Amino acid sequence: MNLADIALVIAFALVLAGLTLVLLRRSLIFFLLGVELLFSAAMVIALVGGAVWQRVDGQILALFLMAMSGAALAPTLALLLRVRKAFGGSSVDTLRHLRGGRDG
Amino acid sequence: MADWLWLIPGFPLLGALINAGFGQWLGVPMVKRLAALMPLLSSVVILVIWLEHATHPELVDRVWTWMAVGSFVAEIGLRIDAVSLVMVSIAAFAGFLIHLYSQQFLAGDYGERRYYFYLNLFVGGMLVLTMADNLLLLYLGWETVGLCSYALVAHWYRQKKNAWAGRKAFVVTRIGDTTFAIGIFLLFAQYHTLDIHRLLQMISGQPVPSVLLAASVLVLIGALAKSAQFPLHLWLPDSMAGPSTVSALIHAATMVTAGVYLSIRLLPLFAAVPGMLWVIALLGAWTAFFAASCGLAQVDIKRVLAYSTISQLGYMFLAVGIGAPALGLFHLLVHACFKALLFMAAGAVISIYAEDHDIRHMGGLKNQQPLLRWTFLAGISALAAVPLISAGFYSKDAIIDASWLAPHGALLYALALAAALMTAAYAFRLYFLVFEGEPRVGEPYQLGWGMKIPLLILAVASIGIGWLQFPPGWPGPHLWLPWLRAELGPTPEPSGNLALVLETVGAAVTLVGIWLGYLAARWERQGRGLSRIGFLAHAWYVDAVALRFLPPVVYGGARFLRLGVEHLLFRSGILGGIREGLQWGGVGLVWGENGLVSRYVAFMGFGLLLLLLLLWGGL
Amino acid sequence: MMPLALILVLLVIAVLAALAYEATPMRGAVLFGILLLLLALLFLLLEAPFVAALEVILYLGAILVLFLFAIMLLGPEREANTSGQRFRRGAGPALGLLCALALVLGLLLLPQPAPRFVPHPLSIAQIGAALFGPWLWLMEALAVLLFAVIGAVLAIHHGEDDRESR
Repeated sequence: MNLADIALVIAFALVLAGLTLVLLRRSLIFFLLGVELLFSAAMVIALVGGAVWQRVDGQILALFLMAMSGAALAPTLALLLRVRKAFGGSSVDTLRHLRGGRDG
Repeated sequence: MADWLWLIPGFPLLGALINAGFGQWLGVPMVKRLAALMPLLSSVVILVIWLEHATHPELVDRVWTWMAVGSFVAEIGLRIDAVSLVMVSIAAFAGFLIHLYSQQFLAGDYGERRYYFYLNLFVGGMLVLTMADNLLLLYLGWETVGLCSYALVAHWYRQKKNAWAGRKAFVVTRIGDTTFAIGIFLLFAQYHTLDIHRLLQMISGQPVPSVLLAASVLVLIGALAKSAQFPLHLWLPDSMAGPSTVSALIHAATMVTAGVYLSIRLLPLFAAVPGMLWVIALLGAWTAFFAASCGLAQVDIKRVLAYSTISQLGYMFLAVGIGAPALGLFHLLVHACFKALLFMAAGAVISIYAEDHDIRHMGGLKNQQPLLRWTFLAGISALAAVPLISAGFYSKDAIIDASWLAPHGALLYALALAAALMTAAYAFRLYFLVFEGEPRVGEPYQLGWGMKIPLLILAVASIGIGWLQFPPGWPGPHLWLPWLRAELGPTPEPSGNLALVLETVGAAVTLVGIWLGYLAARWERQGRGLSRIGFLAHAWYVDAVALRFLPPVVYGGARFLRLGVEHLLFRSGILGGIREGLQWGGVGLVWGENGLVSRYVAFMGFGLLLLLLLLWGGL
Repeated sequence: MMPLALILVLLVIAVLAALAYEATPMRGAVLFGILLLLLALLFLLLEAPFVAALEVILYLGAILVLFLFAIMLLGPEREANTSGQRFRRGAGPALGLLCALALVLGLLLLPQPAPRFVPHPLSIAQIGAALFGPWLWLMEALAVLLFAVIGAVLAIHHGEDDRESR
């Protein structure tokens, strides 16, 4: 075990926790937290890559990921507020319009 | 290279296209004129070739690559050499004359637009067939011709028997088409090329006896079916159900000559199989004999001519078989002239007698229709090969004489000579019955100029075209055989005293045949004619036997295919399987596609995992 | 260094486990904040101080605050029993199985022994040079995207205003 392996284990744990939140939680807030965890996992891996190959690109990728997650989050939270108003709840399962009907 | 060759088949095909697309809008009179114009334009292009390249025609036009898959390349490539030049000239010019004749002959009939569409397509298909430089394109023309013959024979489809005759023509020739296609597949599988020239070079370069035997037999069956040779001649007498002009087109310019053309074109293939040529010669001689004997007893004017076509085609195959394809091509040319003439004239005769085909009800037309009589006589003379004055004498007797030189020549010669005797007999029996004797007045019928001109041109050709090639040793032009020597090789010709003896015998036999024809016509009038001989009148009962035994076999096979293959295998097995699969797949998709975001994410994760596993397995 | 890293791993896992089973959004957000701090520590260990600093400033200072605002505006959650529940019950064990599979595969695939690894410090100047050198266009595109985000949020909010005014 060295530092890179440890960081990768952390990334793996982050991915698992993120997937768990995304798949198993109904609350949209936790859903979005899960997405953020997945982003964080990607950041960790990017940094490990940059450190192992000793290139600056890893850190750059991490910065971009950070900006991207922020950019994705802001409209999503705004949408969340509207969803709450429109459907009266922030559970993932109320948002089933992809299926085609008004509700599932 | 001559990149304008595509114009030749292009014009009639364009005509058919315009007719199909805008015919309704143009109106029948316009369609008719347009349809007749197209083969004329093709003829003009061909005339240019004659003027420019007559001595040594060798033109190639690769229009575009049709398809190319691996080593399989099919090009739309057109080639004109001496043989195909003759063929396209016949197809285009005789086709034009028939179009011209139809203008008045069929005026006011039902389905005129359809008629001219198929007529144009027919000529176009024949031109493609003759000019194709690869077997696939040739097959395309081959099938086009078959389709059009079906449609035109069944032209008056409102009568059931006409539609039936069309179907029969289609089904019988289909046998040959199928075997021909399999033959092409075999040749391609062995030699990996469809280009005719390369294929023939490879065949002579590296022969594979078993493949060549199978392929040549299959191709030969195709040629026999198309050219109505025994025993696949069954469709031709029934194809008389179509309009007479269609018969003229099928029998003279297109369709039936395709088989002869194919066997001339692929002669090296047949020559590569020992004994094959002799079989072709025997089949040809036998067919000539058989069909001539049938012709003796027919009472339907068009059926007489139909059997004469089969018989004359037999002579052409005989010529190919004895190694004299140049003579076969010569006879094809002569036959095209006089057969188109005879059919068109017969059409007029039938119109005069109010659609009655029975020659026993005719007679004495010579004073009523002098022009028709003289032109018909010219065609009959050519058919019977009247010595010296008719073209048939120079082409047909040359074949008969040359057959003497072939191995077992006596047998071939005897069959051919007997056939010639009967040919002269039935030809003049027909003539005497229709035009001589006591007049039986039919309806007043006026031949228009559009009908007279084709008849006159063809009558002159039926007499004069034989003078291209005089028998060996005679003073006079010898143009034909030397012209084709480079392409088709030397032609066996008897010489010296033998030639003199054979020619004299041939001429004498013809004259005897004419006398017999006169007698036969007289007997027929007295009610004790040859037509009472059922064996001959029913064409040796071959048709009846075939109809008795073949359909049950075919229907049985069709039943098996329908019940066993279609119902069981396709509908229950494959289609049912597909339906069940789709149904359960649909259930699965409905379950998956339920709008739950978390489930979609799960699928994404699963897919990602699969991709990773795939990558891991690949690396 | 190594003991610190190992402790970090355990801490992260503990926080994640707590996060996974936390029911209240507010507590979840706090746990997420702790996690972000731990990640910033990890980044420091990986010799990426700039990213670590930005992690604290941006994530903790901005994104987490966004979350807090959202939670505040949403108010208490009413959890309704929906048809997604059955899927969840199935997905838990499936996810567990997946983890086990991934761990086994990871152990099998990991090159043994791992090479000695010492992070190499990179200066912020280098990062800046790269950011405004080869990555300039991506950087600009990101700027446009962030600008568009403002527009998007405004657009979403605008519709809301309309409805309230009616």
